[in-house]
Amino acid sequence: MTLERARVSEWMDRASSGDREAFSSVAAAVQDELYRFALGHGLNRADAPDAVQESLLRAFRGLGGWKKGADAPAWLYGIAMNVVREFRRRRARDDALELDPDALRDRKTASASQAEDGADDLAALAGAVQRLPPRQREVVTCRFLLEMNVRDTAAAMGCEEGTVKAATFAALGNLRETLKDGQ
Amino acid sequence: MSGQDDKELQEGFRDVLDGLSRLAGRMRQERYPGLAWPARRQRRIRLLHWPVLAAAAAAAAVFLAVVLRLPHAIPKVDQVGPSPVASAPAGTQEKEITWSIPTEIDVSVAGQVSLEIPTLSIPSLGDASLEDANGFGWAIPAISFPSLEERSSNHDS
Repeated sequence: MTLERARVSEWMDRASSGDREAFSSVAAAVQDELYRFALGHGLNRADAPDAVQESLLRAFRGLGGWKKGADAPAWLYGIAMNVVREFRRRRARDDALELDPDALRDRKTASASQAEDGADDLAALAGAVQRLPPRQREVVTCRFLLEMNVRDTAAAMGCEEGTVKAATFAALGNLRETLKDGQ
Repeated sequence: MSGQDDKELQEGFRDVLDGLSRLAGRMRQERYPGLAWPARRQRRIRLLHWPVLAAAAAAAAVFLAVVLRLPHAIPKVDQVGPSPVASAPAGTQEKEITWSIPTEIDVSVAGQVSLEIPTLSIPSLGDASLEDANGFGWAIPAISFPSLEERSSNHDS
């Protein structure tokens, strides 16, 4: 996570004391992260902004339960994960764009530089990620696409760090097998 | 993840991790379109909700039937002719039933009837003997009921 965790947590402390401007600062700081989080977990561009707003709304309503001094980004990731899971259940993924294999394939022809980038391989890899079992898909997305550490990933998924590590090895193994079969 | 775990991952899945790293680079370019806060929730009215559609269609049909007064939709209450439920089916035999109601009933009382109920009085608590060795008990005096002959003779006199 590229945002300043300590500062965001401090804003959250102030927001829980009734400072609405502080919560606006939190929202401005995390909105891009949450947007990438939603896209990375397979929501399309129409649903991802709604998921971000829903996550922020739930965070705002849950300010009463916020423990001062806690880690705000980890708390927000947990909320966002629940929202994303609900969105995925509610609507079938039809257009995840960046991770959509077809969209990536189309980009290959868009420019020569992108063609050199191996967009075909990326499309295959993105498709393989989306076909992983849910827990493995969430682990790969958090750890490697959103570049979250194990602790944040475990907090977001609501599981132990050991579970994240085990799922990571299993997911990478599955991805390798899938990509080998595709070649 | 510890350094040892990272090293194992890098060595074991270098090819996959390289691809994921490039996907992560794409993800880093994503930005939220606009401002997420304050949230402006979009209200979406779900028109294709089947119970709502069915209720709306039924309401529209009733409304049209009343407003346009469609002849087949409104039953005629002043219709002349035999009612379909009034006519008996063919071959049904009808039988007339006559009732004989007695009209000479004498309801005057023939004699006087008297009713006597023997009463039983229980002595007050003051007559109870608490010091009885066998426990608490009532000291009930002997009660003699008049015989049936005595009662009838007293009644006749």
